[in-house]
Amino acid sequence: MADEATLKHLALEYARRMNDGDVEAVLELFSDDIVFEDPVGAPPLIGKEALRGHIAWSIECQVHEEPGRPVVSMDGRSVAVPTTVTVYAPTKLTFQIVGIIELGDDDLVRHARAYWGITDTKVGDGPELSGVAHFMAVTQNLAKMVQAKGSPSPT
Amino acid sequence: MIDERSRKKLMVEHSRLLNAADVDGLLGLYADEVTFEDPVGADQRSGRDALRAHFEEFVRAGVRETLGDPVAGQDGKHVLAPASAVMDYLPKGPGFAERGWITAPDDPTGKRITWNYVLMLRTGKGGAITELKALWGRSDLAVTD
Repeated sequence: MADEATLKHLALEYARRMNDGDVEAVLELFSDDIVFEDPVGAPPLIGKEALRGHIAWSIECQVHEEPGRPVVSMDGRSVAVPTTVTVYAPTKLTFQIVGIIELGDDDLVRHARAYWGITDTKVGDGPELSGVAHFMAVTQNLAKMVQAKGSPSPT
Repeated sequence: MIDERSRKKLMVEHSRLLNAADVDGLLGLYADEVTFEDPVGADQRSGRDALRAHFEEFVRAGVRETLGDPVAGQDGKHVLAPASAVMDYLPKGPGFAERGWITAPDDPTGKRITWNYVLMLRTGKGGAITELKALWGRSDLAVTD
């Protein structure tokens, strides 16, 4: 069981390493049998190799994470952090997410969940679209991200 | 889309009813079978009677919740939001101190408890809430004047 400060530091450290674009440094935080749900609702990625592809792809999309204030669970197992995630390629997309990561006994992340909806996603810098137009713009741009990767993805 | 927005409205309504001390209204948002964990990792309970008692304690403490922007899960079930709240030290404070979550003040008169958390609601059939979880730890709590 990690102490609360360690848990909170871990959440911020994940964002820092993602922003540095260092795939291996990010992966060091996870256990080999990691279950990674991004977004929650899509089939989870299981195992470090599957996660490596996802992290590398996010970094190719020029991901930038701005974490808010982390909070922890009373059992010292989980930390939750609201975060603004921006990808700049192939199109700028901004996601408001709540991330929850759970540690195993080895203090490595064994379960990560990113909660975000279509309505938490913004396309570009222009005025906010609404309703169906927004839904179409988001899903088309998510599909573009997947095509840019050239292989099926959980997003 | 509509489903995501309705879950976010539900979260905002939940907060509004709590701040309005409307426990019947709050219970009206919940399904017949409910579980709740507040905080996660210490207190897992179930049933509407236990949930009512839980909300009534917060209301007696004059709780004021400030909700951040909710986000919706693409699982069709969850809605989450960062939040903070403040309440009178009594009646809940001594219980928190007993569990080692806070240090009891010498004189609780006029003291308050403030805390930061992430609130997570899961909905079921018809959009009723089936589970509440609030994530907060010792370092997310403070006793203030």
